[in-house]
Amino acid sequence: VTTNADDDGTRVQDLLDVILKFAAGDLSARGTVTDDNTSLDAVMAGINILGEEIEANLAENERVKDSLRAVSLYTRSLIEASLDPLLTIGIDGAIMDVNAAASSATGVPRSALIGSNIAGYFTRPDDATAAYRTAFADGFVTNYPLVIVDRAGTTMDVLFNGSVYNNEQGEVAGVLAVARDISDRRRAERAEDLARRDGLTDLYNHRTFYSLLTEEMERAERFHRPVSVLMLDVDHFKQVNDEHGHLTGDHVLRALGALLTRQVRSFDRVCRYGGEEFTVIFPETGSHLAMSMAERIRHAVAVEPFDIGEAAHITVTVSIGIATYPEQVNTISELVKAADHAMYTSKLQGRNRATVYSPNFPEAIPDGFLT
Amino acid sequence: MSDEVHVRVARLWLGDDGIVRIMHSPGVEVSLEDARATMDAYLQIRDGASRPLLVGTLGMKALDRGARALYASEEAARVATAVALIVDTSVSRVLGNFYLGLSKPHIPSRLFNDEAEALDWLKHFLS
Repeated sequence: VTTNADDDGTRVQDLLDVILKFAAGDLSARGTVTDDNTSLDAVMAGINILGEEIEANLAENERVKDSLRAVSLYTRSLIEASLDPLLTIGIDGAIMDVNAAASSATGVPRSALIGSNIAGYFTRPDDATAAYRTAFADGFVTNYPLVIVDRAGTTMDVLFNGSVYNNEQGEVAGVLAVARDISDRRRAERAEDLARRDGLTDLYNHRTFYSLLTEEMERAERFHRPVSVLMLDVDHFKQVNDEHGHLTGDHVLRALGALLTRQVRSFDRVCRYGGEEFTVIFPETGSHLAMSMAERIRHAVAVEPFDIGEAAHITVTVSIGIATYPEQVNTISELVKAADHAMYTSKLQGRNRATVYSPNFPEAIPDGFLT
Repeated sequence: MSDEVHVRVARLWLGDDGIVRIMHSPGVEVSLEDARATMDAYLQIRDGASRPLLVGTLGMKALDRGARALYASEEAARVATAVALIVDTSVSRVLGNFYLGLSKPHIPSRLFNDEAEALDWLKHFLS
């Protein structure tokens, strides 16, 4: 194939036109490849393929970008759809991202949350730090109880759950965490607990005493184990009220409740039965051991100086009765009645003593003896 | 040798040596549709076997992106064992090199100037 200079000049101009169109953004431009099969034709064929590839790759990039945008929007909408605070945390504890619920819970705008340390938004910053560090160390953390506090000081009980996520290199990049709002549950638990306790002493109340004793007796029956009940009454408590006033009387009852709680084992249950009467449930405890514990309590009360203000103290004594199931009785009402009976026997025998129930006790309690 | 089959851009036949020849017409510009027609024609003549292909690109002026992708695809690799491209012009050499470099065919593929050398190489891929 022969060509002349004019032909070559025209072909070079064709090539230049295609390249300039590419430069202007028209990647669909193509040059003509002639049948001459010259080197310029080969260059043009190559330019055409390059244009085709660049055009296709740019289109593919746009598709990928659109796809990433869609995935990003979808992920964002999922995160924002959560009513619980969601956040991602870096290994240094810095918050990397949050949803609207997190801003709402803390009262801090998203822009201010991002980059700040997570620990600062909880009532116990050390616990919050321990929670996310657990996630980094173990790969996850489950139901870690924390309390979020907002700018106004309002708190939100949450369970902190989180797990690590990795970057493209497979390295740990952060922790994705959700703080599940359990404020309603906590409020319900607190209300339930309040209903189970005596307002003055914070001990279990009369109703809860029977509920706990029923459970213990069922357990005792199932496992063939004993359970003992201690009934305690403050001696001459009316005199305390009369001489020092009811506020002092209430103070003594509170202090006595605290002393009883200190004297018993962790699994024993101390209750305020009513007035100046207290009960203690001793699970898996026979009458002999229960009597030893009763004696210890009686002595501890007798030597305790109860502060009544203005640097003054008083001492009180208690009368105690002990009864044990199934050694002595068969039912819950018999058990309580027997402990009560033994307690009044202690009163009859001079007070400031502990007595184990015996079926040989006289049935009748003298009238007017109760105070 | 089988009967020749003709498509718009090429003629094909199965040689007695078990190698299929695909000889393009001078000056053709091969589109995806042409590539599909050529592949369909190959499937007719291959006699049920996966065969090596001798592809003549005499005077070919273009092989578009879709056509390159189809020839380089796994789909093509399932019905052929190797491809020897005879590049006898500057243009076809450019087209062939872009095909090997950018499309990355799934079966062994090489460029040759000489048909005899190409056939010798293809014989290694007879099943």
